[in-house]
Amino acid sequence: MTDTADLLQVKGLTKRFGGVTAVNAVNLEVKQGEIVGLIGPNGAGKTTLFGLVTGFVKPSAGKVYFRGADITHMPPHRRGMLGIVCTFQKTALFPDVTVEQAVRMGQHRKTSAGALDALLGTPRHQREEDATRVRAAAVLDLLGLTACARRQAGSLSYGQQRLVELAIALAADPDLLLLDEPAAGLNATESAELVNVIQAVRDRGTSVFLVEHDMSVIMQACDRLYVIAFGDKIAEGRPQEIQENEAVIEAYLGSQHAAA
Amino acid sequence: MSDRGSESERPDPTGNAISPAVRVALILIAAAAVAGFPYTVDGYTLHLAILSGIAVIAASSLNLVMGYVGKLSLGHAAFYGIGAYTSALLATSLGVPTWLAILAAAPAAAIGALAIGPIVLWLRGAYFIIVTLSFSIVLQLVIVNWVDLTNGPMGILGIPLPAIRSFEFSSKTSYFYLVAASAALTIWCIRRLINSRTGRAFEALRENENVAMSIGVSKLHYSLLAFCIGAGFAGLAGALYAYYVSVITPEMFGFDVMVTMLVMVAVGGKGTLSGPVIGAILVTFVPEQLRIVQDYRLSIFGVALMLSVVLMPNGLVSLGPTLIRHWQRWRHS
Repeated sequence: MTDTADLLQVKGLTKRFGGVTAVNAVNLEVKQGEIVGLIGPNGAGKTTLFGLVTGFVKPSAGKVYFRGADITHMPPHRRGMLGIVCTFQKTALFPDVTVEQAVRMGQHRKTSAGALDALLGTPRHQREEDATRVRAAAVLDLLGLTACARRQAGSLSYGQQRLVELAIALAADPDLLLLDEPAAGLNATESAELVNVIQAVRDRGTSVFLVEHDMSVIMQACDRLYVIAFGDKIAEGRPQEIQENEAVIEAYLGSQHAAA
Repeated sequence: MSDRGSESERPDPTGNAISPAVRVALILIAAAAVAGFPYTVDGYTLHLAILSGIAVIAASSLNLVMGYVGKLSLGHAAFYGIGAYTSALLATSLGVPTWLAILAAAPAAAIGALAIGPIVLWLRGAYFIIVTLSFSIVLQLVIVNWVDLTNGPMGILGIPLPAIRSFEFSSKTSYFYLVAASAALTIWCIRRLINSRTGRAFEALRENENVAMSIGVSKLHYSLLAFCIGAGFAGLAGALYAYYVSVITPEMFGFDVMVTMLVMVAVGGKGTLSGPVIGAILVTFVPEQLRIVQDYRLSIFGVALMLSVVLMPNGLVSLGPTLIRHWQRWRHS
């Protein structure tokens, strides 16, 4: 049934809230090493679809597969352990700890020492304590956050906090990184940096699936796009194809476009 | 272990990590101070020191749940009570050696937490607080009414002195050392736990549950783990208290005990290792020092607590870094 080249496969995924169908029988795939974007007008169901993939929203129908395995009913933390790690639309990080500590906290799935290891100071515990520090430094370096390593995460500027969120997710070394509007609130320079980071992440072997409003980020970063409107998938293809797609232009610009 | 690994596990807020040599020196000085303490104070001060040592264990255990996982449990006194009753009953009714009975208090309380945890830990905010409070009230009622086992409201009398083989902890001085060693062990264990993958998972849950889950932290697993370990140490504190005063009553499960623990953690500073220690010592000693003002004692203490929480929401431990910051600013200006 499932193609092994697909890292993530979503089949007929549907979410109804009462009488409203927020996501209607959507199919999509993210292949190994791809950056895939999900766009659509406000209220199209993007965030709901995103939540269905992360596991924070439970589907009414349909299936989600990761590396061919059915994960439709798996809770978010188990998806996290599998390698599906997400960031959130609203700023969500670990505000009261230092940036370095936050990024070490992000490495939960890459480590395995238990409470007894910690109490007894086993070699595994020692090794992981050192390894998480080294990895934290590498992730902070990638995102240009090294200078803030000792600062409290919540005390940073908005743009830097968004980077810390990304750093926490990257620290988990995900196979599939899900980003919910990562460029929201960023200025043009920060958005351009974000595109570079996303591509650097992909080059290191992580596939990326992002929901985004900022078209410049989408067009520059993504290999492929899905467009949804009113819960339905209305188009998919390469960014250039989507830009010229009649249905997409209509969904986005509607009568305004007709008038122009 | 590399130099990197041994140091700066949890950088202090000022960014000045203490060097290993200084740390060893500080620990030795503290140990010497504790060892010499019983010989420099009167019996009443020693009595308060023993009580505050027990309180250090109880407050630190509550802090593990409240300060590190961020779950405000008002049922913590129940684990303190379970520890006291288990250890007392094992020795008085079953004739278990006292040292073993005291040690058994920790697993007994942890098993209690394991039983109640999965039922309550998925609750959020106020619901969790109310249900944990109800748990300790229900348990208190059981203790009061199960007269055959617990002797009901009369409590358990004549708990023997703890002994290891032929050595009895009969003097206040020896009991002080027992409590000090237990408190040091508790803090050492919690410190090791906090500076580890497990501790980081606790803090991740406190800081943001959704982000914690997205990076793979199981909410139930880690909150239950903290709940059980916290209960275990609370049980140990309860047992040490029972064997010290030799009489326990169902009031150990009461709201007063709970609030006292809560105040210790809040005043000292939750989510820090030293906060509950400072809080426990202050809350035990200060009301006694206020005896000179007699009837106004608890009112004055209450106002002082309110002021400290309002002015220092992060506890007394936040005072040090704040003062250092002000001093540095003053020096540079």
